[in-house]
Amino acid sequence: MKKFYLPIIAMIIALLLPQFVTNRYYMHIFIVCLMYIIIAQALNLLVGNTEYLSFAHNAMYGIGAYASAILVRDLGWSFWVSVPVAGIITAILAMLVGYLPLTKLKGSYFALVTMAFGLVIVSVLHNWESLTGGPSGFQSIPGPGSFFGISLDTRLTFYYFVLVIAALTILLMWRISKTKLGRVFKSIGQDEGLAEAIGVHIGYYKLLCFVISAGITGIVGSFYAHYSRFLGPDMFSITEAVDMLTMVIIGGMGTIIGPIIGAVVIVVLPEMTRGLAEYRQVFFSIFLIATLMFMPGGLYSLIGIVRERIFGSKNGANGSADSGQTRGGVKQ
Amino acid sequence: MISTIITGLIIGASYVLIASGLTLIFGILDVINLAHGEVYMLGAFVALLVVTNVGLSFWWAFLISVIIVAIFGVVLEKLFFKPLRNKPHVNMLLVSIAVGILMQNLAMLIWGAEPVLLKTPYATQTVSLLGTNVTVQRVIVLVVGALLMIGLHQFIEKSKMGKAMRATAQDRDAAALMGINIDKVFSITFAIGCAFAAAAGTLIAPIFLVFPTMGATAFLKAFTVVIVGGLGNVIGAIYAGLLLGLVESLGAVYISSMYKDSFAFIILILVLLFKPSGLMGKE
Amino acid sequence: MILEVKEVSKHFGGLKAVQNLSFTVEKGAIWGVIGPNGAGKTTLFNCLTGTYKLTSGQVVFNGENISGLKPSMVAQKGLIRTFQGNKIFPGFTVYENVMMGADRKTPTKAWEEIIGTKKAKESAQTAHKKVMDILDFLELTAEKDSLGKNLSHGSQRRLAIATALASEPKLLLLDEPATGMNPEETADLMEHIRRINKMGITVVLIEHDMKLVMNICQQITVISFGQKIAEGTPKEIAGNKDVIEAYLGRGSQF
Repeated sequence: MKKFYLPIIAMIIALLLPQFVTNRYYMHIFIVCLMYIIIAQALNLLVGNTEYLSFAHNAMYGIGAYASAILVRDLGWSFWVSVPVAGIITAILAMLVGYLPLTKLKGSYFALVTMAFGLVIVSVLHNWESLTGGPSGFQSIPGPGSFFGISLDTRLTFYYFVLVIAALTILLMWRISKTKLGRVFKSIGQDEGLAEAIGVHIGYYKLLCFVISAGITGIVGSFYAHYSRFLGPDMFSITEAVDMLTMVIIGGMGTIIGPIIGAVVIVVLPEMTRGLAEYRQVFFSIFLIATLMFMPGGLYSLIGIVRERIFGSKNGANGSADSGQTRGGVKQ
Repeated sequence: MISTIITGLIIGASYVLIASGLTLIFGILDVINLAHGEVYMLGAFVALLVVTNVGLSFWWAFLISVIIVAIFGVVLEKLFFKPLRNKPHVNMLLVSIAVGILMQNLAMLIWGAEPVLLKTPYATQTVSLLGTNVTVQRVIVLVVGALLMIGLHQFIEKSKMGKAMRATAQDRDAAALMGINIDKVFSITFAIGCAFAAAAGTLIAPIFLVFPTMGATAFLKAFTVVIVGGLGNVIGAIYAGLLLGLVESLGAVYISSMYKDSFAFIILILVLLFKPSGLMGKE
Repeated sequence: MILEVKEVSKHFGGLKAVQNLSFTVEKGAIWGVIGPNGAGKTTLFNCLTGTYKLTSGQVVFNGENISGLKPSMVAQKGLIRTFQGNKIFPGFTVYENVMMGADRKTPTKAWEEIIGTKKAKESAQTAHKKVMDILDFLELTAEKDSLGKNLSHGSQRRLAIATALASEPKLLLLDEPATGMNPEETADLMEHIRRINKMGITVVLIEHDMKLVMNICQQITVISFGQKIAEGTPKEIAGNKDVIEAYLGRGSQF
């Protein structure tokens, strides 16, 4: 059980955090971090394992957000119904978008198709004013309401809510990585042709991965809608899509901890460097380029390197033989 | 009607120039340069600098911009694309998008977001063409654009490097085995691709203003043209580019001018859904 | 008859890589496919496994027409192939590589594994044992936690075979398994192939190493320029004039 040290300690800290930090602003940051941790985990399932890039996750996030917002505000549905429905809507769209490129076409088409899809959705959000409120935004979205008597409309309770979902998501991703399904996803990223030759239906699994990844992102989108009570199309632009990919890559693709690190860095850094707001994108893009070119294992691999330097290498001759759990980063 | 068509052709010509660079790079290097829009933007800004700060004429600006951006393209290829050449394509895609974002933001920091006009005398002089008055600048776009495309075609068909480029596009390994210097081919392809984007940026700048985010929309259009014309297909890009320009122009006048940019979208989606290999297929 | 290749042709535009090739492999046989370089042997394998679409002809496996099926379907029916060179999963350990093969036969569903039901745990145990047995069989146990990309060529070769074995093939297509091996390794390979065959698995192999082919194959088909030029037992092939000519004409080893 000793390898569960870290997650247990992290969970305890996360649970106790709001008792020590009551500042509303910091609570907001924590909540946003948690939401992006979930998104990063979802995106990492696709990008970190199958190595297929989705530029549509901003769109999925947005679709989930607007769908739930519309269902609750305009149709009077309950948060608890609209959230899963938003997730399903997103999943279905992902299935439609991904079907051709993933099951019938060659590799890079998927990234391009998702890019086109992402741009279309942003355009729709901007222009279909009667549905989405257009550029001036979608206002007065009701909060989540209560969960067995406990109101989730406050930051404190909402924080715990998202924390639970985040923990469940991380747990899910971890479990997947230890099963047949996880291995299938990882094999697709390493050598699709070989996977197919031993009997893996790669088209099916690529699509499945994308759909799961998108669905989860859509659900987080709906959380966001009811948390922030307001939505605007600019929140879901292509920059957002690139930020999400950046999180996954700089954190350490294909690992469980990597996306957590990546999400926290991307969310917290701009907050800490408020004064340098204009330089934010410049910094991120340089960071991303540097990671891609020099540090494919991301920040997570840096931690591994630091750990080795301090504590000595764990596995002598075999190098980083971590039983493949931490197949860090983009293929060498 | 005629003026609408002419406008369409001119816009189309700029699309053709940007798109042919993009499709050429894809055809030979097998990678979509997501920073291509920003290269176009860079071309426009360099030209702006030359005219406004150095005080030279438009033609000098054109020449200098094209040369500088061509060199920039080579540097880009050597710095970012070459090291990632043997890794999975996702890396190059991501690097190019990161570079594009970097360029866009740097441009924003340096020049600010306000659109600036590249002043040339040609923008105000007019000429009578097929019964309507057109500014000389627009005629220049058409003429220079056409000349450049013809030049490109001749180069690719007839010259030794052009043949090397075609061979590399078909089968990189075979080409290498035949003694073709792949590094050189890649550099030249990038140089030409970026040069054409810069040419487009410079030619259009006097008409449509220069600003840091101009690359984003331009890329979208170029991307649509490339997909519709077929990835790697330069001739396809010519047809698709002109077609898109015409559709946008006619659409803006006869359907709705607000949704002008959406036509590209819609075409892109339709093609990606129903005939992803493009209307003309890969070269 | 486990495999019937019926007048299979594969053309690439004007290039006729495989022309009207036919042969039948009996269940339990060790069958060799030989021929000079470029004769179309790997192309043939690609046709059999669905990687290439047939220009014409049929492939019948276990009485079922598998022509035109996707490679993953063909593999699921029990026709497994290895590749020339060493195609393994570089980022997986040896253990995980072979487990990929074993996974194809485990009955549990994804959600059962994720939750960790009793059935899933039992199935995992069975798979674990199977993988360890295969690793032992191919002398890879010591390296089981090494990453695929860090293995020696010889180990990678054996790993590819191990992974194929783990998916319980009925017929194993080996594409040049002995390339680059020294005589000792080749002898080991021969032994492994014999033992695999004794397990009831039909083996069809493409090879250039004549010693290996003559030694273990019961029947051999000889291909040159995409066409069958001879077929028979090793003794018959060795004395066949056309075969000798096809090889000598290209100066390759015989």
